[in-house]
Amino acid sequence: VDELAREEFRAYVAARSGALLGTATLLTGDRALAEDLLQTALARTYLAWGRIRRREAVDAYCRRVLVTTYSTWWRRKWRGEVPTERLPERAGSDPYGQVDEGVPLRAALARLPRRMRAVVVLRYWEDLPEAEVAELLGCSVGTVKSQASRALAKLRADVDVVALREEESR
Amino acid sequence: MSADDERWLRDRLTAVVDTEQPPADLATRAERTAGRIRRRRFGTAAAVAAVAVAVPLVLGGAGGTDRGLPPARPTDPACLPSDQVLPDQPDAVSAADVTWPYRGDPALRPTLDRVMAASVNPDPGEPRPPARPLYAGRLAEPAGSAVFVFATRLTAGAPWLAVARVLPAEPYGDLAVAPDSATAGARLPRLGPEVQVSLLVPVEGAPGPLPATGWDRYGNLLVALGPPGTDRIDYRACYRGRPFTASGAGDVLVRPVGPVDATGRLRVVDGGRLVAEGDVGAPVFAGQNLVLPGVEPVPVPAGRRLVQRLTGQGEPQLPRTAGTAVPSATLLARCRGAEQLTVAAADRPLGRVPCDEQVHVLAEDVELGESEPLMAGGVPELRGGPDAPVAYDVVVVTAG
Repeated sequence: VDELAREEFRAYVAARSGALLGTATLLTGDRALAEDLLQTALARTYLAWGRIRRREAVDAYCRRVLVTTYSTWWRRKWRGEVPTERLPERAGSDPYGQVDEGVPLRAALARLPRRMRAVVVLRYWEDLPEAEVAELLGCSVGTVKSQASRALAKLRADVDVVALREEESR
Repeated sequence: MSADDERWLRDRLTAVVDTEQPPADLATRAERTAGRIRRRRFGTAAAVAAVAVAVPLVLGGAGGTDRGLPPARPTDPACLPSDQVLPDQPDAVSAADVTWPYRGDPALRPTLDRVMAASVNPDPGEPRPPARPLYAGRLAEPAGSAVFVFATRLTAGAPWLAVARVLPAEPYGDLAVAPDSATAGARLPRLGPEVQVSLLVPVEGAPGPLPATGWDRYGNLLVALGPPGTDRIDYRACYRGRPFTASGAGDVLVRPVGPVDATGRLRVVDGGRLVAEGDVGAPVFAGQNLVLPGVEPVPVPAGRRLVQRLTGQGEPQLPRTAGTAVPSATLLARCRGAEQLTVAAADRPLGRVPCDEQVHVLAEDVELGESEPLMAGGVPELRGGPDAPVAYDVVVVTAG
C-alpha cells in the first residue's frame, strides 16, 4: 500500500468509522468487542485496498467483511465449546451480559438471537434492501423477511422497548 | 409492526449509534493488524508448501505405492439417516405416572414445588394436571442457574417433561421463581422406567443474559434422566450432521450444548439401541417467560405487624410457603403487568386490585386458615385468554 493509498484509507476511516462502529456495536452488543471487530474489518479492507477499484465500493466491501467476521467469530467461539464432565465454576467473559442497561434498545437487541439481530441492524440501521441483507448473511430473502418480522415482534413485546415507548409518549 | 413502528426503530437506532465515538487511532491500529494478518498469511502459505512436499515423501514409504488419501472417517451411526419410526407411546403411559423418585438437591426441592405450581397451568375450570418432581440441581456455571425437571401432562393425553431454568440462583436453597427464569417443555419421545428420557431445552427467547461456559454462551440444555440407579448415561446426537456425544456417571445428565440456533435431528441411543429420535428445533414452550421487572415493596403501615410478604412474578400463582393462621388480616398489594392482581386463600378469593404500581388495600379483616395456601396471580385482560404475567408484592399485616 503506497503513501497515497494510506492517506485515502485514513480519510475513509475518519469519515466512516463512527457509523461502522455503530453497526459493530449493535451486532456484538459490546463496545470492546465492537472495536475489535471493526479493527479487524478495517485491517482486511486495508489489505484489499489496492484491489478495490471503485472507491464507492469500499463501504460495501468493509461492511461485508464486518458481517462475515462477526459470523466467523461466533462460529469459532461456539465450536470451541466442548461439553465436559465438569462445568467451570468461574465466570467467563459474557459480552452480552455487559450491555449497558442504560440503553434499553441496545439491551433489547442483545436479547435477540444472533442472526435475528444482524437482520435488524442491517435492515433498519444500515437500511439495506432485503436482497442485500440476504446476500450478506448467506440466506434467502424469505429468511430475511421472516427473521425481520419475528425480530420486530420480539422487540415490540420487549419490556425495555415497551417502557421506552411509554416514556416517550408521555 | 407498522410503518410508524419501523420508523421509530430506525430513529432510535440512529440515536443509539450516534453516541459511538471511535478511537482516534483506529486507522493506525487497523494498519498494524493488517501487517500481522499479512505476516500470518505468509507463514501459513510457507507451512502449507512444506507439508505439500513432505506428505508425498512420507506416504510414499519404501514401496512408494501408497499415495492414496487416508480412509475416510467412518460416519457416526447416530448421524446416519434412518427410516425407523418409533410408535407413539400409548396414552396410558403418562409422564406423571412414572414412579421414579425425586433425585437432586434436597435444598432445592421447595423451589421445585413452586416452579411446578407456576408452570403447570390448568385450563380454566379444569383440575391441575398431575406433576411429579424428578430432579433439581445447580448448574455450576457463571450464570448461576438452577435446573428443575418434572414430568407432567400439560395437554390432555400427552406426556411431557418440563424443565425450568431459574436465574439467578444465589443464594441457593429456597428460591423464589425469579425474573429471568425460563420454563420449557417438550413432548417426550418415549418415557418409561426402562428407557432413558432425554430432552433438549432451547431457551431462545429467554430474557436476560444467557448462561456461559467460559467465553461461550449457550442456548440449549441437554437433560437426560435415566432410571434411578443408572450407572452412566451415554448420549449421542447430531447437530447439523456433526456427531455430538455427552456422557456422565450417574442417572442424571445435564449439559449446556450450544447456541440458540442449534438445530438438527436428535436421536437417543441406549445401549446401542435407538430408542427415540425427533427434531430438536421445534420444541414447545410451556407458559410464558417471566420477564417483568419487579415492583417496589409495599411498605408496612405504622402500627401494623407484618405477618407475611409475597413477592414474586409469573403466572399464574405461587403458593404460600408456610401456613400461619391469622384471625384478622389486612392485605396490601402493589403489582404491574396484568390488568389486575387477584389473591386467594386456597380457592377462596380474597380480593383483587388494579395493577397500576400503586399500593392498594386488597382485603381487610379476613381470616386466614393455617392450611390455606395463599395464592396470587394476574387476571387476564381477555376472558378465556391465558393467564397474564404479573409482578407483585403483597403484605399480610395485622393490628400491632
